[in-house]
Amino acid sequence: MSYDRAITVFSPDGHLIQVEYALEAVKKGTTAVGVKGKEVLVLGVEKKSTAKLQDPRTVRKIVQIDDHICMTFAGLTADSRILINKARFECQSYKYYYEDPIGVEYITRYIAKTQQKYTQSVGVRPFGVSTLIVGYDSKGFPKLYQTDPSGNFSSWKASCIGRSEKPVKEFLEKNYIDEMDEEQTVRLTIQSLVEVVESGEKNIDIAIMRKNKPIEFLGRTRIAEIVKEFEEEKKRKEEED
Amino acid sequence: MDSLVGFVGKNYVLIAGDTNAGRSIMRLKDDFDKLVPIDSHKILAKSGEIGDGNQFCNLIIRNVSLYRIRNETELTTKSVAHYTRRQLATAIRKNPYSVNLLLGGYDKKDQKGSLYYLDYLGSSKKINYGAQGYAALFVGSILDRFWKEDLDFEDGLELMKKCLREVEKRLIIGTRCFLIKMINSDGISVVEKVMINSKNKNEIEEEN
Repeated sequence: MSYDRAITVFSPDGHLIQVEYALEAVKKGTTAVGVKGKEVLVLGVEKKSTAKLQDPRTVRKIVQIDDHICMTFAGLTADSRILINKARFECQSYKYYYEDPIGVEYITRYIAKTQQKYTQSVGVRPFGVSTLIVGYDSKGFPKLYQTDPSGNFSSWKASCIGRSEKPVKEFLEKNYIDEMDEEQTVRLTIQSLVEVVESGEKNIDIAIMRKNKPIEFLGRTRIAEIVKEFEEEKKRKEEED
Repeated sequence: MDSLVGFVGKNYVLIAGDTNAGRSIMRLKDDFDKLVPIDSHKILAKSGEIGDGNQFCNLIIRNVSLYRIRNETELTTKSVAHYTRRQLATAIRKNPYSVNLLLGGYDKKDQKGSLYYLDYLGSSKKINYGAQGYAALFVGSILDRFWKEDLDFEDGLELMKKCLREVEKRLIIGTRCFLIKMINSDGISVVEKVMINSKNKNEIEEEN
């Protein structure tokens, strides 16, 4: 009945307006940043401030897709749940058929393919979600991938999605150096978020993905320590000037 | 014909399976591991058609993993047994899996081991001790007599070897080699790979 109309159609000047609107929805979502080090991957997210009566533990933005792959997202949380579920299923399905754990690029391509499908199907709208996917490839190198509502995907050394994308990306471009060790990578991630996140370190979640190890969420106290060190360094610099 | 023997002890589960894989009169493989780990603390011991066993166990393992990733928690042995039974029961009247299973697992929450007997028709029963295959005919009475609740590991291993010795002695098809695995709070470990030679009536050679 009402399924005879495609929602995503070309505009006269060659744009997919719905997809661009979806990107706008992503820009409204809370910030997520991913940084690749020499042998480590770090994801950082801005947590949406929870209401007083809300249990903050139920709002998790960094999720495991498989034992060796993690992802985070920016945009419509409910849409992301669908993608995450599909990705999790695909990981197990891959292992069922091939006995090997799925590759990071493979699952990224799958998620991107799913997002693209919804831009070219009848009766559906695109996912209002961009994702950052981290994991180690078959050769053992850390990989960070990003997908967006159009179905594009690419590999990054460091990337940011969500509402503070511009300033954080500028910060990363200025301060990123190749082959950082774990400490430097974590510090860069936290530093990039602290500038833009309102109400500071309490609303930041940091996750570290090491090779062949389960994901580790950095503790509150450790994050607070690092943030304090930044603030003291900033003060010192200002005093010197 | 496959032999599987299992029982529950004090905070562990012991499962043993013979290591033969054959087709009609030919032994294809004599180091075949029939005790498949489903997750860190559960073993599915399979007997019957080799292909069906592979496919079915694979299916269970993948779905248990999916549950774990989705819900960030592991299923209990009881839940896995019920899920497995459900898969067998829905398949029996459509595309049956010719597999008989022993499911052994250790649950950290209860700090107890449990053992389930499942067969291809969709039966499932929680048991303290049991066996699949021809072994069941021989070890049933031994376990009836000697199994006690909360057996220590050493006593349990002795009892298991007693059972396996009997299987080797009485089963006309040569099932000399058995693999014994244990599940406890630390997870799954291979206890021994045992070669039983009934010529030395009371001796068992251990092959590691």
